[in-house]
Amino acid sequence: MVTRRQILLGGLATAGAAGGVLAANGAAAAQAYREGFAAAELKSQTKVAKQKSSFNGSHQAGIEQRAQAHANFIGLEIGSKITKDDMLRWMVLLTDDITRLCNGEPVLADPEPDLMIGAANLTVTVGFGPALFKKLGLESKVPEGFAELPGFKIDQLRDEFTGGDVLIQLGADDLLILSHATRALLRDSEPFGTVRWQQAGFTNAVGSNPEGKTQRNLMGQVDGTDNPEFGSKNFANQVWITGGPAWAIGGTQLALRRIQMNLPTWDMLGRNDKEEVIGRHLDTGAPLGQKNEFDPINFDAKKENGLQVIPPFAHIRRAAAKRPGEQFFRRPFNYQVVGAKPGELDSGLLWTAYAADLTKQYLPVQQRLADFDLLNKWTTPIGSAVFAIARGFEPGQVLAEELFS
Amino acid sequence: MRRSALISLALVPALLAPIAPAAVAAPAQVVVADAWVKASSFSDHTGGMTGVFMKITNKTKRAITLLTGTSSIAGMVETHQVVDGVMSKTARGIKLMPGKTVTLEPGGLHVMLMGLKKPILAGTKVDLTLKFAGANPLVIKPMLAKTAAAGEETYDPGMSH
Repeated sequence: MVTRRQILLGGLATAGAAGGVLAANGAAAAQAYREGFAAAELKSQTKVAKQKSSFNGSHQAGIEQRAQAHANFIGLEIGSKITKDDMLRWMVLLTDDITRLCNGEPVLADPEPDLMIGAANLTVTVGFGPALFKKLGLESKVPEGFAELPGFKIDQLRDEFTGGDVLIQLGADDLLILSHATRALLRDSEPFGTVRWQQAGFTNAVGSNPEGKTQRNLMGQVDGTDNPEFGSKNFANQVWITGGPAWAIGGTQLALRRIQMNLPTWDMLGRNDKEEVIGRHLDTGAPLGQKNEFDPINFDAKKENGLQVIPPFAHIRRAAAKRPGEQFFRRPFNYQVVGAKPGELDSGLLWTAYAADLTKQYLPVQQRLADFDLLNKWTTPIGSAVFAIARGFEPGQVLAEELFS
Repeated sequence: MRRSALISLALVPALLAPIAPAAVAAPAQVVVADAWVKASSFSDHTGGMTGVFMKITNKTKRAITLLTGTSSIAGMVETHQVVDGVMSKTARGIKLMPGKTVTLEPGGLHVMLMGLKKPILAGTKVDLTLKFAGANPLVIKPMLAKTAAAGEETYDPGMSH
């Protein structure tokens, strides 16, 4: 069987050979064919590493784009003597590092530059927690609607996944490149702060899931169906800050929640029960009673026995906006680590909400879900942090300069 | 990106030469890339010192020697070497052979900024003009100071801190 890739490679190789035929004899043509084939093969084998995501512009990278295969969310706490001036020097370093790394190049003074074989769609996103504004006396520069979340009765938050002054969020389609970039940024962050937590997440590998297809979480559910479309007005309205302090205009607000899943008990449910808990068909992701993932949800539909097709406790009913504007963008990554007890896995979701105003858009939804959502029986928030994400930077500009100068 | 910028700068004189010879700058004799300054406990105070590292390329067909330099932040600029883990001033600068690139790096050849007038901390931008025998002085883009563990060397006991 001939695969599409072999056809592509063959075509490129033939193109290479054609030049050779014109130039010389059969042996040269054969040589040109081999070289053309090898070059195309090499290009194909390194194509994931060679991908770059754009990182300059009015918004930071790593938000309005497909979730990469791997992500690291890192929460740092600044040193007790750190000033605004120190923060600005940190941002200068990060800006230089981000520019080089996202171009697939090693940072300055990289002790292992040979590891940086490409960008693999690396993105770096930087934000600031509520405590930072207090520590540095920057209360006047807090964007509207940005504040610590209230406690929810479902929360069982652990210190090691909660809070933080500075967020560095990285994503890449290659885990080794991501790891190297993470080390580079943390090495250059050392004079300014210490790592409070690092949370690693993953989605499907590139080439495993069709582009644009909604990812599944570890409970098997499609996760992110209601997201606004990239590049749409809807996306811009939900996500990007348009007023207030200049450093945040074009930025956003992030709620990062570490949601632990009790998969052993979830696995015990039958397929119908699982679908009723979420309110969607597991295979297609369609709302119950519908055929396709993106079909509209009919919350009023009743079954013959008079019960609602989408039960009162279903997650999608509780999560649906009750007032205009109660919408936000989610870009979740899965996590799986060794559990606290021997032989136990700890699996779940690095759940994210990106919103221009967390208080208006996200908080009412989270409150409803905390009050009553059957899904809570199998999920527990064990970490929580919010960050105000700075606007993007153009070449020559310094990330978040307006906040610290 | 940086490389293509350097290349296009190098091409500009050749492209413009026949049209507007008066506006043409001399072709670059020496090109510097990836320059950085080490921030450490030696550099975090007035009077301190530190090393500067870079890739430096001789674009001419003759040998050039990097002799010294000037920086608004340093009282003195010297060329140094590290031999068997001990740093000392080079006797006759740093020789750049025609067409070759020399890498100044921790644990090897480097430029030393001494008698610092201000502390150099991680993220500080530092200016530097390099001076040569056989080439014009070169003002390099403000360099970033970074902490780096590589090439920790002991200092020649004869050197004042």
